[in-house]
Amino acid sequence: MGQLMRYTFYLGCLAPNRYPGIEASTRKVFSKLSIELIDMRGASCCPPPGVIRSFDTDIWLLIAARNLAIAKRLGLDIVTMCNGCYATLKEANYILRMNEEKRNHVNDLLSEIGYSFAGKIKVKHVIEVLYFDVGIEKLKKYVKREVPARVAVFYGCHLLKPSRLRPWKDFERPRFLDEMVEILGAESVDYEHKMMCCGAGGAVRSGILEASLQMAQQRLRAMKEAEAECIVDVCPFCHLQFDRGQYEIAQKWGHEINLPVIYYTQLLGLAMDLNPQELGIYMNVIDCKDFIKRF
Amino acid sequence: MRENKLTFKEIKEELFRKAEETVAKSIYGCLQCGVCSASCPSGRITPFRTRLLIRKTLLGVGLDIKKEDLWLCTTCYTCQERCPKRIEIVSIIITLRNIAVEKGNLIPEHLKICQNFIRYGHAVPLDNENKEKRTKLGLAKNPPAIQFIAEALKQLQFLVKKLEFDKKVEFGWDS
Repeated sequence: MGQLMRYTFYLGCLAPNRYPGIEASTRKVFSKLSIELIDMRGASCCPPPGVIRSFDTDIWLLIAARNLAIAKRLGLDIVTMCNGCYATLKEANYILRMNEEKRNHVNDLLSEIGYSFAGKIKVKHVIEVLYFDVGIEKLKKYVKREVPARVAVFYGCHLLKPSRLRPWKDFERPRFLDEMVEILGAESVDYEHKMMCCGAGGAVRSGILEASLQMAQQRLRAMKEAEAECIVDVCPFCHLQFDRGQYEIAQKWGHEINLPVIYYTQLLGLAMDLNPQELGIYMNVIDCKDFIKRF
Repeated sequence: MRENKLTFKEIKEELFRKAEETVAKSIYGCLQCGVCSASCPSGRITPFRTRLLIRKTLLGVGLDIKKEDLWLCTTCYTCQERCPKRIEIVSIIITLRNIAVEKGNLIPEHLKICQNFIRYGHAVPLDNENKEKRTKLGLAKNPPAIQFIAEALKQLQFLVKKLEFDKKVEFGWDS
C-alpha cells in the first residue's frame, strides 16, 4: 500500500442536486478504497460546456477558473463524477495554461476575490482515478460478490473527447469501461451505436427536448434489443437523460423501455457488498428492484 | 430579417475575435468531404447539417443565426475528432452560438438556466425533494457548495457583473 490517495471532490450540479445516489456511492466506494475526498467549499456550477459556454465563452472560462483556483488553494488534484464538469474543468485548465493573455485577464479578475490560477492542478474523472490511480488489479481485490448481469456500458462523449486532452487516446472503440464492469462479474453486451451521444449535451436537452429524447431513444432501443438488463454509465447527465428520459419517452410517445440505469460506482458498490439502499439505486425514476433482486 | 443573416466579413471578424486564432483559421481548410455530417448523432434525426453549417460560415451567405439549427449540436466532438483537416468544428459552433446570443437570440429555456446560474451559482440548483433524498442517503442535507455559502455566491455574482453577463441574459437582480 503506497501513499494515501487524496483529491478535492468537485460535485457539480446534477450529482448532488438530482442524483445524490451517484455522490453517495462515490463517497462510499472511495472510502472503502482508502481514498480521501476533500470537499471544495464554495465551488459553483462548472459551468457546463454545453449551455453556459455556448452563451458566453468568457464567463464560462472565468467561473471555471474560480473553481480551479479553489482546488489550487487546497493543493490537491480534482476528481469529478460528471463528464460535463470534466470537459469544462479540463478544457479551461488547458486554455488558461496555454494562453497567457487569457490567463492574465482571468487572474486580474480573480485577484479581486482573493483567488488565482496557477495551472498546477490536474483534473480527473472518477473513472480515471479508478482505472489509472487505483488500477484494475487492485480493484478486483475489493470484489466481494459478483454481479453477473448483462450490462450496456455507456461511456458518454466527454469522458473520451476531445481526445487530445484525455488519457485514453482511443475514442472510437475503447475497452477500459467494459473491462471495469467485467471484473465485477458482469457481461458487457455489444449494441448498435454504443459510442454515439445520449443526446443530452450541448444545450440540446434543455433547449430542444424532443430532438434530444429521440437520440436517447435510439440508444435505449439498441440496448434493449441487445438484451441488456441495465445501463452502466459514468455521467450524471447521461444518467438523467436515460433515467428520466425513459419516463418522458413513455409520456410523449407511449414507448415503455424500462431499463434500469446504474452509475459505475453504484455497480462497484454492489460488488463490494454495500447495500443498494445506501447506494441510492432505488432513487431512480425507472424501478431497479426487480434487477437488484436477481443478485 | 436582414440583421439575423451574417455577412462573411462579420462572421470572420467575430470568429477571430471570439475564438482562438488557430481555431478560426482551421475552418479555411474545409474540403466539404462530409465526414462531419455522416458522423453526427443529431443529424440522423434532425435537420442539423454540420458540413452545410461550415460551408455557410465560410461563405457568409445565408447563415441565419436565428434558426434553431445552431442549437441542435450536442457537442459530442465526433465530427471534430474525425475531420481529416482537423477543423475545430465544435469550437466554431460554440463561437457561432456566442455570436447569436450577443445579438439577442437566446431561447427562453436557456434564459432560465442562466437565471439559475446567476441566482444560485448552479445551472441546476438543489430542490426540496433532493434535500430529502440526500438526508436519507446519509449525505449532508445541503452540499458544501456555493448555493448555501453566501460569501461564495457573492464572488460569483461579482464576476458575472464584471463581464456583464447579467445584462446579456437580462437578469433581474431585484426579482
